[in-house]
Amino acid sequence: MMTLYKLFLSLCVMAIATSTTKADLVTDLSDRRIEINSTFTGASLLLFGTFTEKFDYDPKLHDIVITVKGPNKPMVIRKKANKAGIWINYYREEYMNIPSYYSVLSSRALEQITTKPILGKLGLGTNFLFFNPDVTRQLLPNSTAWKEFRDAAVRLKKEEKLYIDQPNGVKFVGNGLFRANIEFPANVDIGTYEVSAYLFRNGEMVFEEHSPITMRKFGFSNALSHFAHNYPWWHGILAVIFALFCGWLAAAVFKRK
Amino acid sequence: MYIYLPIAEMSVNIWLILGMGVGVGFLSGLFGVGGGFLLTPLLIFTGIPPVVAIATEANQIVASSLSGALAHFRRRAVDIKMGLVLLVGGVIGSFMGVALFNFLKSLGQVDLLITISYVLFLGIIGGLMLIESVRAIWRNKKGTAAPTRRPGSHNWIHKLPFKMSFRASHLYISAIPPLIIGMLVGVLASIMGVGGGFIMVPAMIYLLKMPTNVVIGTSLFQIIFVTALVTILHSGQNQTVDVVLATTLLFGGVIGAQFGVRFSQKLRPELLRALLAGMVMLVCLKLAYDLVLEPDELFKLMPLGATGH
Repeated sequence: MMTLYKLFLSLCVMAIATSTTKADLVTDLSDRRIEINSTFTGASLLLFGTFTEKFDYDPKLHDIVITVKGPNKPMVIRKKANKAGIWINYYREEYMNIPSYYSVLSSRALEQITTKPILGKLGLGTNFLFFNPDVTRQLLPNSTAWKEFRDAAVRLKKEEKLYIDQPNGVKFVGNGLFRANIEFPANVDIGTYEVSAYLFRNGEMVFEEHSPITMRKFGFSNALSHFAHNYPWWHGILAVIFALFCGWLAAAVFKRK
Repeated sequence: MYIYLPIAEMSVNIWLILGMGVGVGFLSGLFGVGGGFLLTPLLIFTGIPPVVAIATEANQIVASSLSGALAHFRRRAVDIKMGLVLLVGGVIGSFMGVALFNFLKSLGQVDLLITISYVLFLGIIGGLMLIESVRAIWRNKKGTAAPTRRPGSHNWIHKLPFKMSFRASHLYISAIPPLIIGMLVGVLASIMGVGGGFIMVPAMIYLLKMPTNVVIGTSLFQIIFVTALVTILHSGQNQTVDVVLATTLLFGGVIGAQFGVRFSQKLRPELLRALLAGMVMLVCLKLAYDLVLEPDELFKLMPLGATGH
């Protein structure tokens, strides 16, 4: 039976505002440690936040963007081409590190909040996220194809629900209090994730805040996967012993009949 | 009901996997074949990454070949010495196969290697079986007796050096042919996730001239150890053995095989072979079709230097 683990807010940060002049936003998460069970279909995390006491909040002027980034991984994207009548992996582009998970939630579409140059400078949003292609190891059909490969990588990640764009993901609930619901699919990587909150005023980024969360997995399947990846030779030997036992058992059961 | 496969990293319908195990188990009981060469393509069609499919199949075959071999051991229908020579070849072949596998993996072409190997082998085996069984059916219709197969002695095999005596098989032949046969089977096991009985059994009968009563037991003896080694090598180097998937398939397979064995006594053998050949050809054509047809998704994103799925 599939279960959806909803982790609810344990702490709602009302304007406890230590009101240092610098901090314009105060945010907190329902949990800083996410634990994923084997049978789960996903987890969700609630982020709550508010503007500090003396802040003059104006919904027409202000926008909030929340991003969650998973651990970086080197990846390769390959494109098939028809060679001698069959479709084989031919072109490739390697990325030195791209986030294994990337979720971006905002109060409006990013392009409405600010300009593309600013998004590009911040690496904000799936279209502007830094991908760091390794140009020495690429094989592209033409010099402008990098864009096609990058878009395909983002599209494939989105199909796995590992990259998520939610242009209306940040909801204002009144008095400058806002919330965002961050979704994690079943196949997320474990490790440290970075949660970032950005405040835009009139298209200018005026405040940013970063904090870590930890993704952990538990349960039988995850223990097995952990064992297989960390002790691969022992895993192989035990898999063989288990198979021999199963084979013997099957023979013993059906011999009696 | 869905189960999560920890290594394939996907949720699959447990009834689909069990059903495939039962279906292929039924066929292996029916035809007396291992079934790995049908199950691996079926797993690939379901969306299991090919690298996980073959390593997991090797693991499952360890179990199914042991349960099959135990009956032959009890009847002492095993030529242990011949099995050991085949096994030495199998060990060398497995290392060669896994090395080839890892080399093509680093080029991003391992899925292609698996698919092409399958198209070739299924095409050859299925084609030969189809021709043979259609001829047999034809002969039966015309009522003529089948020509008794008395293969002539292969002189070149008897000229080879390193002769050994295999008492259980009543043979005194060179160790080189069984070594090479075993090696070929080892390569196939590591790149296709099959036991290789479909190559080894005909080779033992027609090339080595082993008596048929020890052929199956001896080939199963070799298959247990070779698939065990292949499982360990793939788990150790590629981390692609999914025990949850293997156990589910095995469970279905054991049940299916029991029905298959009973059902096989009700069908004419040449008709059985024609059916199996037809099925093998269908799987082969589907794999070949997927190679030449433009895929819906041209792109594939994978971790660098990892398992490639």
